[in-house]
Amino acid sequence: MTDSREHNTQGCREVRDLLALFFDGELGADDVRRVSVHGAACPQCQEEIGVLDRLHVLVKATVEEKADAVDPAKLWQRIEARLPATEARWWERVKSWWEASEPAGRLVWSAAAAVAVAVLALSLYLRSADVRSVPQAPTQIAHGRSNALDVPAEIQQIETDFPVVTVMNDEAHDTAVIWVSDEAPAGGQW
Amino acid sequence: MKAFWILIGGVLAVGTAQRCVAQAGARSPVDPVRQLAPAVEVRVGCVVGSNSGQYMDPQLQLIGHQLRSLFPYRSYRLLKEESQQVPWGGRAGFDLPGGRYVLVIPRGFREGRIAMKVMVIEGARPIVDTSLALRRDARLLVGGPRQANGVLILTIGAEKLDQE
Repeated sequence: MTDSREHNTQGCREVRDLLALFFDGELGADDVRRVSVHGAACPQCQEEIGVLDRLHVLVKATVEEKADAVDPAKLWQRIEARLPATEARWWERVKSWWEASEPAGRLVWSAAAAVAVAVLALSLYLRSADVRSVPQAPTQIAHGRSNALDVPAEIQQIETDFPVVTVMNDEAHDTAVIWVSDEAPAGGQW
Repeated sequence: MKAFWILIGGVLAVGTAQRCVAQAGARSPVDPVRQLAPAVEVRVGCVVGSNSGQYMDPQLQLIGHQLRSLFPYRSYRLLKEESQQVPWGGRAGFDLPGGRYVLVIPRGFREGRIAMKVMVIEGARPIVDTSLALRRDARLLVGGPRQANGVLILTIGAEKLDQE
């Protein structure tokens, strides 16, 4: 039977200091051999090594079991769900989307944006140039002699309380029309 | 003292009468300008367009096709037609159904056109207040206000009387 004094020899202390690294697999070949030889000759150290070995096996098995239960594909979603909500600003989202886009895609989107701006500008220009202007509020809508000389009526000025005013010269019938309402008439030549 | 009250009463009566005359004169067809020789005949027609039935008033046969081509209504009825002769600067006023009123003031003739001011009024609300130069024989249509089950369409024309 080995007493505690024998277990507390210099060799036992050195081996105990190496046990943690021994079970982590981080010892070199000489130290592994040293721990094994000492454990075979020292029943106390061998028992301690046996306890640590069973504990190591138990921990490893438990961790592996828990790890197997985790779906890696859903792990990030679960982590993300627990993170505090942060709303990115719209330009930050656009910027990140833009940076993530392919160069060819950026070119297509740039061209589409340019076309959209051109169409918008053209429609605004045509709308402002249209003599059948549709003001949104009661206001004075026309000044000056803007009509051609041969139209049935040169409208110099119109004032009304109605929100919509439509002016049309029907040269075929030698007639000018001023239409006031809350909305433009449907159908016909309007 | 009695003479004093009679004097005060007389002054108030005269003032009230003057205000009444002035108010009546504002819409009176016999304003001072009108005492001049008439130079323009102003014609105003009051038409109601609606989708009640399919009808074209026989009195509108001259402009019926035009109305149908311009507006989306199936039925057109002439409620009233009237003309007045006024001098340049005179006022031609026409009462319309629905408490509306049309005032046409021909201002002059230039380059084949009759310059005029046209006001269509509903109560205190100006439906249209416009200044325009209407070509000889041309017609102005003013439409849009609600009238019964349809819309009001006014036909306005002016003809120069003194052929120079």
